[in-house]
Amino acid sequence: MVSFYRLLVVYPWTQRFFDNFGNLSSPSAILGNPKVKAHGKKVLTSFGDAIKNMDNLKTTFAKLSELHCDKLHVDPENFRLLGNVLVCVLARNFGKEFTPQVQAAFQKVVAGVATALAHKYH
Amino acid sequence: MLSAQERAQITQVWDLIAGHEAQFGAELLLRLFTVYPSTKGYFPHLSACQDAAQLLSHGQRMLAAVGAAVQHMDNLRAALSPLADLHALVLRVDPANFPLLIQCFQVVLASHLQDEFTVEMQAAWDKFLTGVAVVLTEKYR
Repeated sequence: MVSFYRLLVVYPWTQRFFDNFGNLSSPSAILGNPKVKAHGKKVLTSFGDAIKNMDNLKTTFAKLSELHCDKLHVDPENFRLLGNVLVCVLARNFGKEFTPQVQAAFQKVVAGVATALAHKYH
Repeated sequence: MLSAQERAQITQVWDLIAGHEAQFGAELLLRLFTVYPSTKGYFPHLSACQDAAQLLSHGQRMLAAVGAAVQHMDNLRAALSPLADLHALVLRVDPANFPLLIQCFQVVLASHLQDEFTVEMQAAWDKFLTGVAVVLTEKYR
């Protein structure tokens, strides 16, 4: 959830997909927004599914990919941005334990998710 | 254009890095090479042996340049002109690599500052470093 909030603040143009979310006018407004919280939870749950299905990302995210292309019209670049923000949040939480090797592993996973989410685009 | 608040955020973070340019720079390079192996091609001597002393030395140089950029936030073009020439004529690092370096920079900051690394700091530094990258690649063609 924290990652989704950070995405909307650090890269404000990503807010373009959430016009119906209400008040996104400041970092504190975004942080307190219940729709942001709810959506952030949904998104992070999906990343959890990714960790459980690391060898099968394209299949795991097939339906979500279709949804993001056909209904939501989200530029796949946004998936890469969110993945990078998630890695930063992990670095913040784990500090020194977030070694270059650990970062590399997580960047690979988030890149895999981004690719899987873009896979069904046409 | 940087707001007054963004400038303050940038300076605040730099004050935490100043004096430790070599250490931060070396970690930055190590992360870059580990996470994005294709970047090693731009640092052939450095990345082949990953000698600690060389990483510290080059890291120091890179972060010193970032420090200069912080000192001249309002006039990056003039301050970074020699570096822009270097990147355009000699180094010719593909512009697509700068976001990779910036991501690693954010991770270095986040892992060292942890709770102190606020979303405002992350936003300000992303904007600032992106601006630096634009200036460094501006003379490419």
